[in-house]
Amino acid sequence: MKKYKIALVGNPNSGKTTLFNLLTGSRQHVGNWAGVTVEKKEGFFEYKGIQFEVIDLPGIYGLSANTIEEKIARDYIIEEKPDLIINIVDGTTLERSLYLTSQLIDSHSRMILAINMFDEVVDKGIKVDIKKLQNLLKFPVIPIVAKREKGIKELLDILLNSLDQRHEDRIHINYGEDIENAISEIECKLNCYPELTGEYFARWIAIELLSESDIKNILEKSKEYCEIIEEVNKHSKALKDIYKEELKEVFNDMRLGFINGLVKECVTIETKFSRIDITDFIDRIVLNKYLSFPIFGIILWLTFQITFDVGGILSNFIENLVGQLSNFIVAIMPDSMLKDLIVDGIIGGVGGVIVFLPQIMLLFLVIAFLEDSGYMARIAFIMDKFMHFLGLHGKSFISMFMGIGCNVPGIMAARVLESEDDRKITALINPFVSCSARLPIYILLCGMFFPKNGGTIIFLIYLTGIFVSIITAKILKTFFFKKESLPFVMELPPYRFPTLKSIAIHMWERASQFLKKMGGVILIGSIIIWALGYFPLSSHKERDKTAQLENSYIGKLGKMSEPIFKPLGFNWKETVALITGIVGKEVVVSTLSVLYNAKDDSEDLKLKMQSDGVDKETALSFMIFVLLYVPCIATIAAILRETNSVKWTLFSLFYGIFVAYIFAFLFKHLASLVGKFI
Amino acid sequence: MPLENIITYAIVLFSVIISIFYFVKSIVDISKGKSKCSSCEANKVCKKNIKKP
Repeated sequence: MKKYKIALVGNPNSGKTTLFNLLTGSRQHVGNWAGVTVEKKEGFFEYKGIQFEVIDLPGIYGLSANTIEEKIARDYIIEEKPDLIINIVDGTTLERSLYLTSQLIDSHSRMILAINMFDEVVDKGIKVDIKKLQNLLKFPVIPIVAKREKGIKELLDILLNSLDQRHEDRIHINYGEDIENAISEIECKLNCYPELTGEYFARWIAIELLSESDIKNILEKSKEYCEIIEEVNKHSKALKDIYKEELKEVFNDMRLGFINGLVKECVTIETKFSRIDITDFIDRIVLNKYLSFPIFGIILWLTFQITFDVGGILSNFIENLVGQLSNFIVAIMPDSMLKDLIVDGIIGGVGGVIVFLPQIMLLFLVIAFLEDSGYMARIAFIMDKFMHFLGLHGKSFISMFMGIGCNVPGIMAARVLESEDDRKITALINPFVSCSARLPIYILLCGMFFPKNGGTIIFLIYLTGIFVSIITAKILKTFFFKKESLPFVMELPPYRFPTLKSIAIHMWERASQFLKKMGGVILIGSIIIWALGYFPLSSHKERDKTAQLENSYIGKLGKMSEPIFKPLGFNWKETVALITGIVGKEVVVSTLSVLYNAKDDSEDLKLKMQSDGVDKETALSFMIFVLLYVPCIATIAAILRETNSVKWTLFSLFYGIFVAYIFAFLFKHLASLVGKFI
Repeated sequence: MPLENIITYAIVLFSVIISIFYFVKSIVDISKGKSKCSSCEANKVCKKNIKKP
């Protein structure tokens, strides 16, 4: 059975991924801000017995291949030639969004124009004459509200009908007599090269060549492409003499003129109080010169306060369940090696981490709310000035904020930056932004050592991470990457009240990933750590468990590396936890739980840690070290991939350890000093 | 040797094999510059979902 290829193309934040998720039933990350999708994603769906392969392309403003996303999207459209393109436009910014549509028209792609967020279009008093627009564009136009699943069935029906229509009348943008003549003559010349025109639409090649786009890789498919270039240069020179400006600009003007005319014909605006007014009102407060940073700080502090306090109540419930399971196993199983493995290794290790599920879910509930409401875009906007002051690009902050979830997508989000230097710096500083895998460590230690102000301590740890990443960026920019950053325009989408469904999806996604990790790397890690702490068996094991652990393989390894971390106050158990944490940061918690043989209760763990010499200052120093030292293996791979440099990847590792050591040392001793005076 | 001990050794051995596999795979991925985060599967390409909308 034939499978049709459908590509979703549109500006950033136009709702492509929302539609993609709706069609394929997948749960790719969506957010009310630009740059969430940086790679193309594939999915499948079936409608009325026909199978479709759908590709979600990154958000782009044009097909000029100026950025990586534009290149990914253009290459896909031109090389892969999808059967149909669904061009999704944000109805509230129709005029701007149609620029990409005009370039898609030139590419001769078959398409449907889906005007998304049509509810907001109506709210704003914008009237779009869909029928007229459709007649003028000569391809189907349909209003949809992807977020509320409105118009999707109609879109799919149109999709099916469009696939059947083979010889439809296509629209061409008229670039004026002189340019059109030049296009025709270049087209004529191109027709002599079937290796090109067989694969690509001749008019598109002509337009791209005249507007000086980089399509060298396409031209090189013909051995005699120099002759084509000669022909283009001849016309280019003549046209430049006529227009007295760059042809790229002339094409842009013509396209904008076409869009302007189209909008005048089909769109009327009736002024009424709308979401834009509300957005304006909120922006006046949250983007105020004096209030913006304090509001951002308060929101961030509240986020961690909610995570710590409310999450703590819920996690007590899970802790009880884990405790009961452990007691049950102890009661029904006779003493044996297997019982030790299940109770101390598996339940101790996995149970020690699983209790933090509510906090992880709560953190992502708040982050999803901030993203979907549109506030995240404002944070990037607020930080832009600050980032520029440091010589960095404003978009770097978007990547940093995404790192709060997980450093891997955070590093990948660096792709939205146009300058290679900015991309490298952004990828290198991302590991200092505390990812959610590190959260259980903070919650565990803050719960034990700072129960009254845990939320504030976690907030300060996150701020420390951001501070170190900014300082690192400044150092890198000053000494290694000296090029100026390109200017940045952050889109500020209107505020929207997030739907319960989208927030629930975000939360569930994070919870399921966390649970999957429990059954994978954390379970395996806990078993191995238990075994390394259990063997070799000593004859007097029953009498002295501590001595047994110290003489075990892991005890010897820890004792060996203990002196390195002695100045930071870490004993051999914390040292081992740091080493195992390289696999995944949650493993630090399960390692501590297994090594301290805690009875599924943080109070028990606290007492055991305290009796081993861990105090408040050491706990703080440990959290700082975890925040800044080597990231997990997946993050290292992501750094290597995005910087494409072993040198910079190694720099990231060693620099991380160095900074972590210095900061942990300072925190430990400064906290001790402060403690003496308070 | 009691059965419980045999089961314990088997579980530990299995875990060690899996972790060695994971470690080697990670090293290969790093050398190839690939990255797939086990926590968020950021690079996961959705190819499994076939359903009617």
